[in-house]
Amino acid sequence: MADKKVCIHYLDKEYLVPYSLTIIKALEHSGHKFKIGYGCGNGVCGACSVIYRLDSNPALKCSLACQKIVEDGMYILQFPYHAADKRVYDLENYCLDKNLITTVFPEIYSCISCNACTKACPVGIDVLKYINFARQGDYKRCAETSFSCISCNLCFSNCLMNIRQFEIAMLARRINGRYLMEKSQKLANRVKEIDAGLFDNAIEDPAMMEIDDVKKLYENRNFEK
Amino acid sequence: MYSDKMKDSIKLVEKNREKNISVAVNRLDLKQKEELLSAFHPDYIHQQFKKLKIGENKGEKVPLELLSLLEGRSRILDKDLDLSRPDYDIDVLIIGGGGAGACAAIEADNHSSSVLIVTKFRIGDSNTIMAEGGIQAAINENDSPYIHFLDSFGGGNFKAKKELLKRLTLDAPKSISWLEGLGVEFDRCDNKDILTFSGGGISRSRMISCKDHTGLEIMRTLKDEILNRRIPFLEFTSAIELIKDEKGKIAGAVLLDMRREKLVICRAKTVVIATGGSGVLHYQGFPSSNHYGSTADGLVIAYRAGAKLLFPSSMQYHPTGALFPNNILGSLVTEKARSLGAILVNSEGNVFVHPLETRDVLSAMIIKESKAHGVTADGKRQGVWLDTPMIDLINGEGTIKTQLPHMYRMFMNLKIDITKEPVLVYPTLHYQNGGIEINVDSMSNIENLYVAGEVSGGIHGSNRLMGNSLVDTIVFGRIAGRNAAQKAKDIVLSRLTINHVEKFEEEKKAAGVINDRSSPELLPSYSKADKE
Repeated sequence: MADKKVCIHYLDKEYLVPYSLTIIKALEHSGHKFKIGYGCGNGVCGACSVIYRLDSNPALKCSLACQKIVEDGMYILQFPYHAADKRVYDLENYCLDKNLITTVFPEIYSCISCNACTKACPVGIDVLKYINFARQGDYKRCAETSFSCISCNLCFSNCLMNIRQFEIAMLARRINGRYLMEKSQKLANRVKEIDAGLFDNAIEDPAMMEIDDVKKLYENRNFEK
Repeated sequence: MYSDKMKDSIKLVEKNREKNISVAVNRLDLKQKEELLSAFHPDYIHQQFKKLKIGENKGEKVPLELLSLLEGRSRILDKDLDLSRPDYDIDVLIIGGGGAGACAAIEADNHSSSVLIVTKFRIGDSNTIMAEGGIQAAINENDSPYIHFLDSFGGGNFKAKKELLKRLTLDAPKSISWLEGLGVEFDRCDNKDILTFSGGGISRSRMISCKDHTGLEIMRTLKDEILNRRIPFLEFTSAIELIKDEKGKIAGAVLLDMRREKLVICRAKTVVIATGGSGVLHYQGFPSSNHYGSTADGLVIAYRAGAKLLFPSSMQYHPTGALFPNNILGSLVTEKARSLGAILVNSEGNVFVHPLETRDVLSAMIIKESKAHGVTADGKRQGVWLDTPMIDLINGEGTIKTQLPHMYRMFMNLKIDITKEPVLVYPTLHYQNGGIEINVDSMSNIENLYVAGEVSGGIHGSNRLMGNSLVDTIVFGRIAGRNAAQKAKDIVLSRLTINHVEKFEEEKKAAGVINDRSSPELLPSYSKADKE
């Protein structure tokens, strides 16, 4: 079992690789040195989006190369880059335009609910759901539903109506963080205190003490329960 | 997924779980800490370090792998470069597109400077985006920047440059406000105010988070801001050497467009190095939690230009790196899991250490405990258990899925349900505690060369606390960007030169150093072809 190999295809060549490797590790095993398409290796940066087909099934599938385990008969294609501009906006415009998302991304109305976006998402987000929230103006729920998004671009790449789902989600989250989430009273108070100089060189400042006194203070400090 | 032997060990963990929740273990005192570190921490294994023979830190020990690069051979020595007609001519060149680089760019842009970011991969490809647990800021009433300073100074073994740490702890709350202004969504608790919790060596509830995607949430917001402002950047472009002017001031960099395999000259009045860490150099053969590009490039080009390093031999090993299965070897298992109550137990299901000691203590303890009471993974490495099912037991069902969604998914992909089973962990190379020394203006000893983020040295002493790196990248990223932009207004550069590169090579010859390894490294040697 330890020696079991599968056959993968990359850049017109065939390779036999151990069956349990991720696509990234399998390609390195095959001698490939990544200059593009490899980021965190941990499934959070979206750098390694790939599309693939299988010998047994010609349907185009997509995933993250650092997470997806190889399958026998896999034909792998990395995105050399993502061929699109980014829709630019000014977050402050939300103050005057509460429908900012549909203003910046009017194509959101073209959604035909085919769910290709959800099927393409490698981190399991219900993309169609958050697009519906965005269309309805419920930016908070759009933000919450899309939270795990890593901007891998696979949703947009699979959308028949060219909707930029992950960009829409990004705007919803920024609106949520800046305008919709509850303002922190304790944060505001602390910033005021710091600006007023409350923490500038007072007697209890350990930065002003002798090293032995700091060490004693450190060892004897109490921990909040 | 787990082997039969592992499953037997897990049975012991489960048997002891209820009892272990209330087991009290004392934290080590300073003397015990020093004894433990000297005996078991990788930084104390002297054969793994060697003295530099050249440069500003001559005579000082650094890790072998880093030494090989610092004393390596410049990639431009045999190249005929025309510096008289640069391809770019700007105010602020920012090398690195992670958290610190992005913050520097935004601040420089605020000061109407002409900015260019160059990054080896894409904007956001960084260690910042991988940070999970949280960011520290003293915002609670029972807390203060003094206590934040004390925790951090002691946690760093009293070695940090006090003025830097003071700046960090004072600016931390404002950094949170600034990030919220950009749209970052920090977790709230029931009373609707910001949720806080504790971490290793931290005496107050000071950690602020975005579930276990704190770095992702911050980095993607910063990246979106950079794109909205249309700040110019070059992706897949490394800085392979710094350029100076004839008066010794920094004056730009030689860049390599890695896709087109072309050299590009950038003339700049100021430079900000924000190139991150060195984890994929895999010191002492440790696995690493770092991203693909963490090859210490910024350290190398700055050192060659005459920069002074501080604590270059101090590395942080995150105590809980994933050990099993092999596909996630070295991946981060966030400290937040322990903040939420998960504890470390050995192969017999027994507690052996306080779960919230500082990271250097925990790593040394786990290395020690794994030898005697470790669980074997894949027949080679030994580790200990992080008892994750405790989290839901203590905080209520669903806590893991709500607060640690990334961790849950990462293990579930590999058929391990962390709500039901513990995970195997072992220290992983995680963070470079030292780096290019900076002053409180975020400037190095080279005029107009600013440094920010993980590549800088002096803020964290010889051990960084959880959540202090994210706040460091924001605070000093902004300071570097602001200062670089303001300074650039008055700078007049004289003729560009890369003489310092030839001088460095001559210094090598004079010191008897024979090292033809091309540096900076740029890409790690993972491919099978590289290894042969």
